[in-house]
Amino acid sequence: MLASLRASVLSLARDKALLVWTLAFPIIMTLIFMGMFSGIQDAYTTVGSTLGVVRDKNYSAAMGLDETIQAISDPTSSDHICNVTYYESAADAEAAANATEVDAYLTVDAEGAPQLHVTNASLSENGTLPTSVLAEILDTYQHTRAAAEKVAATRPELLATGEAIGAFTESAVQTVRLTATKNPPSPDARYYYALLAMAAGMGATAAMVSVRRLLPTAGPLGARQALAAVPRWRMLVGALLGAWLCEFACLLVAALFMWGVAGVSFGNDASGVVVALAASSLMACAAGTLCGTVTRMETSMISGITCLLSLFTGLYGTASQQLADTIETSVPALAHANPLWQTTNSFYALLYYDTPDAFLESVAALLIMTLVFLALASFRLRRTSYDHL
Amino acid sequence: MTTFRTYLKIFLSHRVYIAIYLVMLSLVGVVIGLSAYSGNTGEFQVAPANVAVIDRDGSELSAALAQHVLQGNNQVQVADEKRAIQDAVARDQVSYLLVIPEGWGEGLLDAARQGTQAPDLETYVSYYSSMGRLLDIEVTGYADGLYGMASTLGGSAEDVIDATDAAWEGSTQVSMIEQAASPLPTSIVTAAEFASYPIFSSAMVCIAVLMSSVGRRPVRDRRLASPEPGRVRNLALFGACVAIALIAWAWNFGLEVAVLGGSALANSPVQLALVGAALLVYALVSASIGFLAGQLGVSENAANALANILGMVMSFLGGAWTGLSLLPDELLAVAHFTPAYWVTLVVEGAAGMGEVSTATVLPLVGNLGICALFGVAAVLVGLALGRDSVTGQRDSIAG
Amino acid sequence: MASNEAVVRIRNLVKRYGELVAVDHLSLDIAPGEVFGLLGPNGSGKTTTINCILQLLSYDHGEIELFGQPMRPTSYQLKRRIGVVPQEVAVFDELTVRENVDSFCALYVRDRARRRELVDAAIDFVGLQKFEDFRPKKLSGGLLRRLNIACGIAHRPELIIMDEPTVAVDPQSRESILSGIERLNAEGTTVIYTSHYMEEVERLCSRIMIMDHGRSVASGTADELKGMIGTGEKVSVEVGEMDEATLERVRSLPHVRSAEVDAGMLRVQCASGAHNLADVLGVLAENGLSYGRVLSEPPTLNDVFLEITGRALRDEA
Repeated sequence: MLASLRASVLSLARDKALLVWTLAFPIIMTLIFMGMFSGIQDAYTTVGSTLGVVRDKNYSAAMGLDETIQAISDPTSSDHICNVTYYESAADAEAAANATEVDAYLTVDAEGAPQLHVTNASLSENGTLPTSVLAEILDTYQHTRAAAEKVAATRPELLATGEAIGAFTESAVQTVRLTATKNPPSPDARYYYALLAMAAGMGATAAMVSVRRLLPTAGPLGARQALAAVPRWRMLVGALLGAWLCEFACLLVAALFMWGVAGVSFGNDASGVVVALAASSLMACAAGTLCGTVTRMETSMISGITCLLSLFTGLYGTASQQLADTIETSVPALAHANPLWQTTNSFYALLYYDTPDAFLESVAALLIMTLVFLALASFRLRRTSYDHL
Repeated sequence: MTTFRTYLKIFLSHRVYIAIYLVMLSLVGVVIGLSAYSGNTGEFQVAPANVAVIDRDGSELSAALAQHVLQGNNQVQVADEKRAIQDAVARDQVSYLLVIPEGWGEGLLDAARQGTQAPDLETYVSYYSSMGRLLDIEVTGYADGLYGMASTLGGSAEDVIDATDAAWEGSTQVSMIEQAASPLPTSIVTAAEFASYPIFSSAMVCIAVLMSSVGRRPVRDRRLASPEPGRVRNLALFGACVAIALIAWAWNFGLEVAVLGGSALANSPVQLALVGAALLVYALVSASIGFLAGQLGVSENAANALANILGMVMSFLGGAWTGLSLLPDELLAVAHFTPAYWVTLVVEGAAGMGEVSTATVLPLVGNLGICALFGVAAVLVGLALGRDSVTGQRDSIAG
Repeated sequence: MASNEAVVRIRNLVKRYGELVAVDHLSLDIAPGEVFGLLGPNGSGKTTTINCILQLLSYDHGEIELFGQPMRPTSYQLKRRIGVVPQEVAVFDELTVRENVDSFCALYVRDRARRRELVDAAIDFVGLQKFEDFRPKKLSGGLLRRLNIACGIAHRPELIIMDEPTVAVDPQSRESILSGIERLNAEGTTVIYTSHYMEEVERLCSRIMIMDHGRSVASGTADELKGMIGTGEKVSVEVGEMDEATLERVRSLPHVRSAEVDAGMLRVQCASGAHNLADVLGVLAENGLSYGRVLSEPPTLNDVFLEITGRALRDEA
């Protein structure tokens, strides 16, 4: 068993495929992610846009509108939402918008109701959110004005003292932002975890290659080893352990790299991370063993399957994350059956939850999958060996 | 011609690569496109947020506030337990979770009467915090309304709510600026940008595998000993590379147009054609990089890894997956050196094109030209290496 | 082209890999209709010579002419007349047997209808009709070798170069390959044949050249080669017991080079002489020894080969 473990470790360490997939691949992608996500935190927090304002007589007549606009365009204020350019006429503003100088422009109609005009280009580039924020601010302005008018109609004396408006605009109600999770939610952690899961999945090729080498059906090398005076299962277990050790080591280095170089947060429980990596790589090796017993399986198929499963961990950008979330909320069983999802989730649980149950659930799921894969593999192995003899 | 056919047969016999990189990944792209938010073009719709409200107060005022904030947004049920709140926020299941503390309604009315600050509302926001900011404006705006009504007009909680709701009717009109051309739907733009991954990886892996099969030593020698001129052999290989690129392109783009492009075909054919041209150029560039890998004598396993990793890196750097606007400046500078960046520029440029004219289309064609240069460079390097390796191998040790 | 003009003519061919001289001033002529055997230990320069003939390798010095014309990498008209069966199986794993033969034949023959006939004939020739639609991975070693041959001969070349075509095949496949080569030769095809199997070379080749260290060390017909070496016949006699004195007397016979008794058999190596067997038996009779079976073998090509190239192991650095 030790001999086949050694052979498996040596040949995997010398064959570059495993190193490429489970070490070089996550490290390269981490470097890319590092660059990308240096901007993503801002992107998720900023709502900024450029707004054109048509300063005609309707605009000037609209009570309090200019103050509102100035408040949100003051670059020193925490309420800063947009940069404003003023135009004399709607035609000027529209020309500016078409020349993509501003994302949107504001006009006021004869009744004093503000109207927002948005360009398609700004929507396809920045999404609808900045526009929504502008619209919401204008809504609040309109509603507050309507409320003030209502108050003025009932108690005109309050209008004179300014109380009618002041009561609505002194920000008497505030929100406080609380943190529910152990660590603050981070948009990029999800990418890194999905990346680790993908690397783990790709590592299944290592076990597949190691195990296949031992099968008499796989050619002269396999036949020679099948003739050895050692029980088959011991050689297989040795090969599996060897592949697992290699993959585990690679993933550990990759995770260390993410943590040390890219500053990815894994929570405070280092031992938990090690356990999660060990369980994920074990699951992948078991899956690889099962694949090894299928003669038609090729390494490229494993990478293909892993690519597909990674879609549901949200690796491929925001759209794939939305898809993954939708599946998780509507058909949770389907999401949970994805071994890569369990891997991702185990890291998640470590980062966010203050109780270990979610983490333990994911690790347990990974171990159960391991057992299922191994059981299927041993069933198939028994059959192939009889077939062969 | 027969050599070309032989190459195609070899390409077609590698069904696994075709199935995974071409068929499966392109389907992933279409699924992503389908799931991408796509408002009715020409009309502005606020993207609804996932919002949850935990009302610990249970007063009339808190119910009114909850109702107001849920209006127009997707309500998510979250239990008032720590783990449930953690789950909801960490996974971005809710973008905004509002907790109305016990006694809030009563406290607000008291504060309004005395002219002091009302009790605070508690919120939890996922990392998508700009959405949280939007909802903060909505919540505080309405709560300020309740406070203002209570402090000016006074009356019962019911009166305050009625007065506030009356004032809070109607919203700002948001209209899209009329443009001469209709924009492309988000779904097809998203799918087209994602397609850079399957197109690159399928074209590259298929060509590299084909070339490694054709270039195996004994087969190569046998062919070199035949009267087939080198020019014919190279031409056939070139033809096969182009054919593979065309297949990768036609499959991906065809699938996208068929599934997602119905309306675009009718409303914005020029923009769609530009997207198609961008993907076509990218497919050809990918093929030339595959050709380069083949000339470098990359093995099948290495080709598989390279196709996957390079494909992903390029798509990412090109901004295909998260949008160019999110890339930081330094990375954007690096991205200029990838063909995917120029393709994404064309796709995004075509997507939001205000009007179709030479002035708007020509710059995009120029970007395509830059992208094509990457392919030309790869082919030239590949050819130079190929010449080297032929003479080199002619002199390598033989038995 | 005159029919007596050499099909292959090599003069002073030199091919160096740095310090190593792989082919050292080699000259040879092969006449039309010959089956020319190229023998030599591993690394003696056979394959290098063939690759030089085919212009797969550049060489440092020398002239190579095929069919009376100088051979160049772009001599497509000459290449068209040559067929190659390389040492390693050189076929596309992705194509079927038929597609393989067709795709290689297509490098020589454009016309599709003509090619179909040729491909059919080649597949018949090697007996792979039943396996036409198989991929190479599904073929056994012998079938694969036969496919390798079919791909080289389908276009009916005038000169076929076969580099160890029978490595690792069973006796049946070997027999079919050898008789195939004989048939091709009978139709007028010139063949260059390399092999490590002496009996094949002896059976097929009208002329043989033994190479070592890149040089031609002997050439001629099989009989001429056997005549070149000192070893004559090998005499074996079943003697039972034999005393040392008698053995010494046998050893002192004029043409005997060595004699020993091993498990009741007296084995005598003789130089070529007129009546070696009678001499040995005479000694036995004089000493009153009775004997059983008597065997006299002429020298084999194998003896020639080992005598000329030495018995030291090769391929050792």
